Amino acid sequence: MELPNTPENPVPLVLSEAGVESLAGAATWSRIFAIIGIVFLCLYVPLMFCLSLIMVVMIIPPVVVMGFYLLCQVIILLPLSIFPAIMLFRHSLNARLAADNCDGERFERASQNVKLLSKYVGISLIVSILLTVAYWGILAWMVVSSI
Amino acid sequence: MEHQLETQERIVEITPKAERHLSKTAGWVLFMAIANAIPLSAVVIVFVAFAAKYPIPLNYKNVLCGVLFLFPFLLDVAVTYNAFTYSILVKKAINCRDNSALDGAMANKRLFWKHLSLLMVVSMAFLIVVIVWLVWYFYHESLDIF
Repeated sequence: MELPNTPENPVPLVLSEAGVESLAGAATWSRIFAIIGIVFLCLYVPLMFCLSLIMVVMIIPPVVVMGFYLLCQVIILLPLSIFPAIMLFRHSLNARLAADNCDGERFERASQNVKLLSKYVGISLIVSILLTVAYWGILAWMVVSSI
Repeated sequence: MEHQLETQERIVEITPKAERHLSKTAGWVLFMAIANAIPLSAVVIVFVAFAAKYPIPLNYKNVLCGVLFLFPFLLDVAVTYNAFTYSILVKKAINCRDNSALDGAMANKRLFWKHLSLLMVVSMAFLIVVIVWLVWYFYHESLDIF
């Protein structure tokens, strides 16, 4: 019979052995992703920066607008990408320790790291969406005004 | 002693604070999954509409392009699906005090990072191809100029 979950007698949530193994796997893959992500950023950011600068100095208006859009994406989203990368490393470390030592407190820290990570990625996603909307809005305005 | 350690069940008890963190993470992950699902659906709709109007001939080049496009697309679909399932299972685990749902959420989390890593590798390969092509193109252009 299941006990009711009340504030006086909270039913504790428990991660079983299968869950602990999945947690360890998730820690390994998140570490791999963090390393790949940093390499990707090192390739993507300089390329996008150069490409957007080339586009900005061109005289064709739609290309200049696109150049500014890409430049804003790179400048605004870069700091928002560095913080999640640090959080991801810390998360993978804490999750690995939580899985190895079956430590609830480490799991708490790992979940706090991943909460902050998802929050910052979510914020950068909102910023990216707003930039894209602004870009398409400007393009639409240019098309309408040229007719 | 060693035998005791071997037979001891490996479990992690989730603290109330960790539960709150998990719940908030699930909310953000659900938002990101929805934000990712919208452009994915748009790509499918545009592709189907385009293919219906202009039938694409099945030749070697088109099939190769299709496979190259389909692989990252399917990886992105898998990532979105894992994110959705993770957030739903975490919410279920916390609201219904369901330990098996939490195990399922962790399994999805592992798959999420795995698929995302593969997607990143594929994206990086595309990026490297683009860089090489750009360098090659500008090199030949500059040769033409001189």
